[in-house]
Amino acid sequence: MVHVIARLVASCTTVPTERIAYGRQVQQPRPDEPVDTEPDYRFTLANERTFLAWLRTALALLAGGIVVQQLGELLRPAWARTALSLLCVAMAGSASVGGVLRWRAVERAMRGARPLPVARLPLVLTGAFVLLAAVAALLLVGGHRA
Amino acid sequence: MRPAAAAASPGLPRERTSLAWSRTALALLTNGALLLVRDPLGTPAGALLGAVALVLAAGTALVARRRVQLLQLGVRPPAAEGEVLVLGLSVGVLSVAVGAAVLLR
Repeated sequence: MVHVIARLVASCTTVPTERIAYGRQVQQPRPDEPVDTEPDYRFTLANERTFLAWLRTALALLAGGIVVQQLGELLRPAWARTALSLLCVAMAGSASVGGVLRWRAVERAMRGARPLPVARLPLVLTGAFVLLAAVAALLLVGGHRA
Repeated sequence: MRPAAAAASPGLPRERTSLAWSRTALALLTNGALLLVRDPLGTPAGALLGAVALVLAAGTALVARRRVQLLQLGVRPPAAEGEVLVLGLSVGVLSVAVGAAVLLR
């Protein structure tokens, strides 16, 4: 406990010419100097898990797309079923390829001791998901009235 | 990493990573079973894609096993570049194929 506090105090009083990058201190790199540092293994594993989470998101969307196509009479007309299924599957493809690209970008940023890149895919996928849910809800309510 | 930090983290990141690999293999297995059992896309497209998903699930399980063994040896795990590329792009291609099958049905 005592040395945890001591370490916290020490980390707050670090010399400002140094910075903390992914769990360890590195010298501020000069702009012309290519940096390739092996990141802390915990960050490598965290990046790997994030990729796998994207992949599982893709697989859940793929399963969703297959099930939507199976709904039959519950979701009419047939073209809407196909459209919703295709939207799910397109989101699945984006999530898996986006996951790979994100993994690479994060890996490179960590090796170069740069800040992590901004992820845009969550915003796009969330928008697509809201659209999907809204259209599905409208069709289901309309189907019950008819 | 400082030795103190290594001692403070008794393999939990390794454990989480191996569980993440297992969950992903199970998700692929679910997709393969869904494609094969429900046959929503009509034979032979559904059966073929289901078989592909099952092969991918088996591949993921193998990668998971290799990765976990490496982590248990206490070797510093290298970045899984090849695994990430092959698995991610395979699922992307599988998605495109399922989309085409839905469209052509």
